[in-house]
Amino acid sequence: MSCDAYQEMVSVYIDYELDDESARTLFGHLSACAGCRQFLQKSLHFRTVASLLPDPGVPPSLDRRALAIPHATPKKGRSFIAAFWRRWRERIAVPLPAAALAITLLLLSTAVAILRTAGPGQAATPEPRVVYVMQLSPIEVHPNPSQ
Amino acid sequence: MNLKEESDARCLEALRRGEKGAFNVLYHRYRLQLYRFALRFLSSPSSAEDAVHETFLKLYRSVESLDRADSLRHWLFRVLRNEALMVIRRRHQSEVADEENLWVSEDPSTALEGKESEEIIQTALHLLKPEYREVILLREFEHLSYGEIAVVTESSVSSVKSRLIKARRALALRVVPLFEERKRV
Repeated sequence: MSCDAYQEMVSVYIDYELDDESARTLFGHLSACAGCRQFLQKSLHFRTVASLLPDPGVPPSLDRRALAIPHATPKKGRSFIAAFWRRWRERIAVPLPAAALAITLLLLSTAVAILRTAGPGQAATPEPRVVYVMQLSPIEVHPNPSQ
Repeated sequence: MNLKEESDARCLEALRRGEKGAFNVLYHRYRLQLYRFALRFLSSPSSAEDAVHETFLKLYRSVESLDRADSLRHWLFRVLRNEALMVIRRRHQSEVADEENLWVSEDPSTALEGKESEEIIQTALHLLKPEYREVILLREFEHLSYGEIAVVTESSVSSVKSRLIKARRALALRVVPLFEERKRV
């Protein structure tokens, strides 16, 4: 594996998203590779400095403007149609087809189970078949037709 | 009912019922993280303020049609990120021909010389292309998981991973040495 691939693992590792097995492989490489070790150190150094940055204060003008929103803004989609579409999406569009699919699957699996239990070994006695037999009158056959 | 203790979903329900106090609760719950992200993304207090204001305006206007399955935090960050990208597009910052280069300017080191750590980070972030800046901000400052960043940036987890690695390499190469230099001085 190349150092690029190991550095990708470093990035995933410092985000706590690397599995234990891969982490063992990564640390095996880090013990031998100064370049990748340096990348790990620098990435952690950036994180440390970033975490020490003070939070910016939210400007009072933003508070004033934002808190005035409910008093000065009409709600979009408050109409009957918007509410209907939301209810349609949340209560009908997904739940109903999902329920229908579940019922269909249940019926299908029941049908398959019934067919399997009535397999060839336990098949019901076949219906008697009606066979028509024609009675033919005997025909004389001569070995040599010219005679 | 004390809405401050209630979940986002309950507050949204209250807001749908017309309780304006629910909006105040949600605003105070998210204003700092959204403003912090906007400020670091846009490097301009006035643009950040406008973007956050627009985000809350959209929340109020579309509270009726908001999908209940969606996390409000992700929704707010997604809307804010789109607002911020519109600001950047208007500034024409993203028009950089060189796709391989992660930096907006040619040589970030020159722009970063002689600055304090906070300024170095802010300037370096400002110089990173928006697609790399957003993942670093969401991961390092807002502590979102890869999956959450993918939801906010409307991309895949593998794209998030790949952009994070590239951004970290760029920062490790150009920015971290400046902190180290500062420590030695």
